[in-house]
Amino acid sequence: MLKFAIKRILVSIPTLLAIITLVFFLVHITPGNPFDGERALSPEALKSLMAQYRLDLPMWQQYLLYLNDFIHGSFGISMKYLGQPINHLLFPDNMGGFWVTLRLSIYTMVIAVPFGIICGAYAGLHKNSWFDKLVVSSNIFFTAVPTMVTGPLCVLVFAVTFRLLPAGGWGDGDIAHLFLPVLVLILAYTPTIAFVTRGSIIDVLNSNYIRTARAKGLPTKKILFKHAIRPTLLPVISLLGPMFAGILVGAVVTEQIFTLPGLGVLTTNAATNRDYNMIMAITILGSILTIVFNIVVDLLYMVLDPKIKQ
Amino acid sequence: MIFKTKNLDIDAPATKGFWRSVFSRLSRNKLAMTSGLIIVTLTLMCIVVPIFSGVSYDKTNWGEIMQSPNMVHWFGTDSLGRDLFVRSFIGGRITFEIAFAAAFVVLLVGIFYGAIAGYVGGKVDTVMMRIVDILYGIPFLFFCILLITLFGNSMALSFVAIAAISWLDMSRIVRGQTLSIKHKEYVEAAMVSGVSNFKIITRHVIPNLLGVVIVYAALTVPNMIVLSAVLSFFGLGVTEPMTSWGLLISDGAQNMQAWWLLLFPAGLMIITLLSFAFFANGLRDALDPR
Repeated sequence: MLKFAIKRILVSIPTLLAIITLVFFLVHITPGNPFDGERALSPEALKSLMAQYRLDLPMWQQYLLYLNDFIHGSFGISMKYLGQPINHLLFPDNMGGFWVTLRLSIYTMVIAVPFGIICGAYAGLHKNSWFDKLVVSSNIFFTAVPTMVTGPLCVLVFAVTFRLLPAGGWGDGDIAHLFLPVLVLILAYTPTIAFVTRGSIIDVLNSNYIRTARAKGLPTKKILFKHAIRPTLLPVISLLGPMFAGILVGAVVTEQIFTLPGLGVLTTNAATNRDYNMIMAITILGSILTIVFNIVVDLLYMVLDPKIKQ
Repeated sequence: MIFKTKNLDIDAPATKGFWRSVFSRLSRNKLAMTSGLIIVTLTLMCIVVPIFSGVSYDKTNWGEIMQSPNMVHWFGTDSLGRDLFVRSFIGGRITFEIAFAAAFVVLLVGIFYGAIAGYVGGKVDTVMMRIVDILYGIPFLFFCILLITLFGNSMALSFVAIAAISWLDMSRIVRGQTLSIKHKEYVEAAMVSGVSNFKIITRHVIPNLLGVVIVYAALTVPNMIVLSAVLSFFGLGVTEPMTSWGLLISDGAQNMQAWWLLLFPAGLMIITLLSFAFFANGLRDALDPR
């Protein structure tokens, strides 16, 4: 187990390095820099700025220095907020930046995963019931219609028409302010989890060993919780890896809709101000999270699937 | 050499029969056909409405600000007095243009990349698929935003950026299919008779991928619609006075008191996305009846 985990982590390091290299050279090979344009700077000011951001060095030196910074846990300095380290903007001491996005994603996962699995299992056990049909059709609807459409519609219904909840803003992170954003995210991801669970449990219940268990007279409860539960969960677990990246991005879009002070705002500001360092940092941070989460999912998979154990 | 042309002819009717039976299966699927009809109608309206309505989509009209839907302005007007009906369809036109163009690029890149990786195999395949794996590790939206910030915020570039990183799924699917086609007898026969690799890929492998590719294309277009709309939420992509569904929805989300500004574009987008989903489902069932 430990050996597998270490191996899995070591394998993902070259991937991360490749991503950083790709992003770095994409940004630095493209002509122009954020300082030419809008307002004219005196040559001296420009020169000192270039020096501050190491843009006067040869590219390979910049690259190595960037890697060095990264290994020491720093994403460099923001180009918009001059002199501000990006780490302070991404991970502020108070609530904001990455913490908002992380909190939204975690709430979503914690609610959507068990809820989706339970709904899906119930639907699969009661195939062709009205609940089953609800699960299937809501999967079609919510995979087709994204949060950027359902989000504003939820605001229109709950916040503007019925005035039940605030339309946006973080507040103090209280339930009232978080309810709608999390609801929108849960609506987006629960149906897929439920749908996959449903398909999986239907397959498992049709398999030979379940029939054998039934034939030898095991009670249904025991069949479900002893024999069916593990293989049913396997496809769901492997779904969660890519889904986490989706939820992270989904959370950023949701922040835009509900004007929450998370990664979304930082991304927008960075994009409009051509703050390259910031966008690089956000992209790389997203990649790290995706990779880490995929490792976690792989380990979980190994725990659940006895066939993979070496 | 005499037999060559004759032998090729034997295959032709069979292929025709395949597509004919696919079409007859599809035409019996009412939901899919209705969805297809809706897509065609909406596309036509996006072309026709802005031309024949005689109303300008970008002219400010201070006398008619924020009107709710009425007989003159069916969808109401926005904060600059512009007619939302015309704007919705000109926005739809831009949205469809971006989505179809991006989907086309995605298909082209994805098919060739996947077919080459799958057909050549060996080290080439390993390297090519490793690149795909690495690109998969980057959150899609952030990478898109990075590309657009780098290359400037123009519509053409934004769709190139979208297409440039959306072909990953396509290439994986195509590669898998190619691997199975590669070991079919007719491909081996072509190899033995000395047909060049390029020709085998373009003449034998790619045509046999069509089924999968068509279904995936029908799924790619709505994905592109969503992505371009999401980018509008970040202020990227299409810019005023030109508009797109994403821009209209994000505009409507900021003027919630005027419900029509949100409801009509959002409704149009939901109808379109669902139609594509049902149509793609129908296509898949028709191509692979099991």
